Amino acid sequence: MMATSDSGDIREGFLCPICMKDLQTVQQLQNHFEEAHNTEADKQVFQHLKGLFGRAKSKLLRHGRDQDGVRVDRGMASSRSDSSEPVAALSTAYYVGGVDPTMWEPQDFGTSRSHMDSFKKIRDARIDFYVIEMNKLLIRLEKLIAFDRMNPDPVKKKEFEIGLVPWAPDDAVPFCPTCGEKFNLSRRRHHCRLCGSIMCNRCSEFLTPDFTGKLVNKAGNPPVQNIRGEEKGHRRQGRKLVNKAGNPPVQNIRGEEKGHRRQGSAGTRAMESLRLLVGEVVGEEPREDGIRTCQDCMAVMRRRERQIQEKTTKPIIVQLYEKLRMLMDKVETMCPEYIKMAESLNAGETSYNLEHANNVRSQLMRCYEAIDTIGFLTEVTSYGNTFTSCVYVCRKKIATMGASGTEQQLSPQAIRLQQGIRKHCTLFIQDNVFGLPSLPSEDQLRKLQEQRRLEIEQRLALERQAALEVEERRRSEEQRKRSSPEKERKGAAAVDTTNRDRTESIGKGWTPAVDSSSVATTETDPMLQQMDIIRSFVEQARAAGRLDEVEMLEANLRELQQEYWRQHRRQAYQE
Amino acid sequence: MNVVLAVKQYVAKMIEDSGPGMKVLLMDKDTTSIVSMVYAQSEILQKEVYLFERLDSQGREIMKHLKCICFLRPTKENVEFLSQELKNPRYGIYYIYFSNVISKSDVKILAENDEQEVVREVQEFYGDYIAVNPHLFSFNLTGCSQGINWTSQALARSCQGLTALLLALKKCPMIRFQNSSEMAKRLAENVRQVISKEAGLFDFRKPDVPPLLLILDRRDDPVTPLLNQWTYQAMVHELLGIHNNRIDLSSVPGISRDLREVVLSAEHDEFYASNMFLNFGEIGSNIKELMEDFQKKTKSQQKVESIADMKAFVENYPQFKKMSGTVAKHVTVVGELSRLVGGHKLLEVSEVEQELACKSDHSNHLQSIKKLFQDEQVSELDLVRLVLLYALRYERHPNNEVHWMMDALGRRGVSDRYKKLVSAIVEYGGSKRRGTDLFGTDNTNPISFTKKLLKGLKGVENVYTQHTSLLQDVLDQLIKGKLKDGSYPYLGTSTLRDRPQDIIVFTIGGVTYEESLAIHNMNRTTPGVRIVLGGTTVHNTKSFLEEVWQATQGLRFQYTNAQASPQHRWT
Repeated sequence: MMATSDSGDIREGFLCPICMKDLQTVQQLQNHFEEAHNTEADKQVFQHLKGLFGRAKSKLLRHGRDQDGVRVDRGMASSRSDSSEPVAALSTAYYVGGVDPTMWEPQDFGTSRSHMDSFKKIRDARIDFYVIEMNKLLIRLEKLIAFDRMNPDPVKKKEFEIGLVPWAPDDAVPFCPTCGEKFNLSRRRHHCRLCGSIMCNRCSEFLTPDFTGKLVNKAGNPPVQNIRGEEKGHRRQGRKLVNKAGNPPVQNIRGEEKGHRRQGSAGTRAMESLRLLVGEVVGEEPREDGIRTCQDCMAVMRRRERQIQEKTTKPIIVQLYEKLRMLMDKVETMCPEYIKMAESLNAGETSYNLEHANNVRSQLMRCYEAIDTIGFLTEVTSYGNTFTSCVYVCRKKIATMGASGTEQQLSPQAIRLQQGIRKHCTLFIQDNVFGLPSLPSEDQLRKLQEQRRLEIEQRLALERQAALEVEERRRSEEQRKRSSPEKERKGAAAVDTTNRDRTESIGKGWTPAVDSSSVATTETDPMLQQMDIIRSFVEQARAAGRLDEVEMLEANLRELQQEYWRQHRRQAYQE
Repeated sequence: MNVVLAVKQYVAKMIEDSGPGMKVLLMDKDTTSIVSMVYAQSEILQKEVYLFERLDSQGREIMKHLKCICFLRPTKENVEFLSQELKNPRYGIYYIYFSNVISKSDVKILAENDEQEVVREVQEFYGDYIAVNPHLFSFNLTGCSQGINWTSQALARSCQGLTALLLALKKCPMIRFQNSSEMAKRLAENVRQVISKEAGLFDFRKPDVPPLLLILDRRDDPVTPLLNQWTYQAMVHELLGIHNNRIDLSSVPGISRDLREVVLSAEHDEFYASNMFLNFGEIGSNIKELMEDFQKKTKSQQKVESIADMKAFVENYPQFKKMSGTVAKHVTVVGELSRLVGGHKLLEVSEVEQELACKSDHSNHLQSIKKLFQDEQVSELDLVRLVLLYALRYERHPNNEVHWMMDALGRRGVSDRYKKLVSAIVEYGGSKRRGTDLFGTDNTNPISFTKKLLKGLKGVENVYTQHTSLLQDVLDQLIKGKLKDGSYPYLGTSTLRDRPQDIIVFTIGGVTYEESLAIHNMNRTTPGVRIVLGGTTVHNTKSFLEEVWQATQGLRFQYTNAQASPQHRWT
């Protein structure tokens, strides 16, 4: 497992640090070293050897932990904005580019200067003004609507309107401020009900009940930043009234207003007919009913409407895109896991379950398919189009047929945006899917496992044999010294029995046997010993094809490793 | 001191600061080139930037769901466009980055127009130059002078660009300039002014040896941009023209559609990165290798019989496709280069050019040029450049035959404009304009004399690349501490005592890829010294002639009337 997680060039075992020959035991390595590398320089290396073993061991252990750490880091990097990390990634990507970078020192991020503080200061001063303006108008509007609903009397209404906002005196404004025409009998003065200014009929705008309904009903979340307490009170009142009335009264208002127009005083009727007449002459069309405002107030109201709309609606493309990002994130976390599994399985290891891996794979594939589909959808769906399952199913068809239909409504920018997203999807899939290793089939897996088992057995046998040989040699030397022949027989017999035990136990109910030779070689740290024992158990369980045992033992092993690390860390800290 | 990386870091930071979500990158004409030089589109797509828009393009649609990253030069025009944009914002949130120093009043205008509070960030990120290679930058300014003096626009742009580069690299340099050039002096003074005005920005940690900014003038060396080139990058620029890493192949006979315009970027094309500084012969063999490698792969790809083969194909497909793209591109480019080399007898022409540039041998040179004039295959441009080189080298030769050559050019049907260039170049970079001994003719100068001797002793390795640019000599002397204070004075009183370490060289009137290669080699071979080269633009002969043409507008020419008298003899 540890070897596969790296580039593959890593070899395990008791390697001679000079000639990289694989020797099975420490004994053998030592012998080999004494025989093959006997020069001064080599001796120096030998001095380092002992410490090296310790370090290598801890490194291997850390490796397992580090992988977990890395995964966490990656997850965090995507969520937080760490400035140094992508820069590092950048520079490495750049170095791959080929131009000799060795001459260049690591480069800092260039100088930069922010103007946001002064920008904010200036902006805030102005924004306050705008917000207050808008709120003032909104409050008046609410009051107007509320009053309208309760008092159908036009005279009172006008009184109320004048009371709400002081109307500009007629004689102060000889010309329409918007179009610059002189007011006369046919071009009469009109007042904006929201700010009280004067304009001609042609320059008037009308807030339709539909429109005001949208503005006022949605006013639920106050747009206000700085509002005087007094006004706040008014607002609350207004809103209550409006909310109570709800939607249906909107039509009511219209009816009432119409009614009042029709029944209006002779003066207004005359004016109206005159207006109609003049309107025909000048080419004016009779305006829709509603609250009369000037163009400035209308612009403010429109902006308000847009704000509300933007806050509440989310275009389809955004929804799709959010989904897409979610899927991509999921894939990014799943991918490395899967690759680890696949590699392990392909190597014939039994640490992972094939079924589980297949599950993950199909999950991944589904994600990719979804990404592909969404990428595709973003390209074909226009903003207005509804996201139907029909599109989902026969997307190919729509791509060819609907292309002419949908793209006509889209601006070239929207199309380019969608193409961009689509391309991103394609690149993402290319980067991730094509690199995915395939899984072996059941049969293949069995073969692979068999192969590996044989290999392991072979290696074990070799190791054991080599160990025996060394042992024998040593013993014969000892023998020569002590000349006691019985001991040898005993030792050989002992080894023999363990061997027989193992072959038998695999056939029957399975119990792992402690391989004394491997345990004996480890250091005296009981935790390390325990780990080695478990490792040999795992090997045996694997050889015996006991998957659940392997899993359990591996879990055990991992726990032990973690614990071991915790201890070591603590020690390190204490030191 | 990596100019490409500096811009890349800026752009990456901008994108990163805006957080996750769909993004649009809003740029102007200049910043579009700046960004496109360092980032490939696919690379930027992966950072969720899906749209690239020009600030001045009309009728952009409202897309409130996008975050907008603005990267703009702080021009009056841009500020105006941007305030319009902010008044009626098309995108949800704005992150604004200016590529240079922006005035307080402009910030105020923008702030006042941001009525809807869409702006989240206003910053200065000093990526205000075109990063061509890690050691080479340009401002894409052709024709920076008129009547041998700055156009005010070009001066302003060069000054802004240079100060931005210094800020991006975090260098506050000492400044030296070429004394013979009024333009160099003015630019140096302007840069210095900005540095003292923005002292707060230039307040970096002081290194042991302060960096050095050396400002030169192209007019001191008009020869280098007139030569045919034989290294890949330089050759492509000379024969096909590179504009912002793109080359236009649409004039190549029988070109396929997707190869009409190809991108040559060392950042994203490994083959190019490792071959751009190699000479034509080496490229040929490398291309052959690439082809063979590719064919081997294609062969293995072709036998798709089993499912396993299919799988292998699909798994290798992205690399395969990438490789096939690279192969097709470079094979086409190199093929076109060799067609041009063969078709216009460039080897013969180049040999004479190099001789003209490096040696003084009037009768022989005259003979070679006359011979080439009779050859129909030699192109007009090549004849013109030979005449220009001849006119420069033998400007004061008593028996020079410039007039005969101009007549001969006329007989070949060369346009009047090119003929006028013969006088123009003498006016632009003739001996009285030059501050240094370009041709090494002054035997009283011991340095150039010994150099000439050494050159003669060493012999010539390659006749096509024997020329070394003046820039290389100047930098050699600078590094050795032998550059004369009289010819290249310091601005201000302080001088550099130690051997310089970080050197930024800027050539008014443009640099060439030959010089870029020289700097690249110096960077590699001189430990402890880092050099960055820049120019108002990167020239090939055509663009250089345009530069000369514009620079000499409004001057009186020597060769316009039939009678021209060399002032005095020289040996």
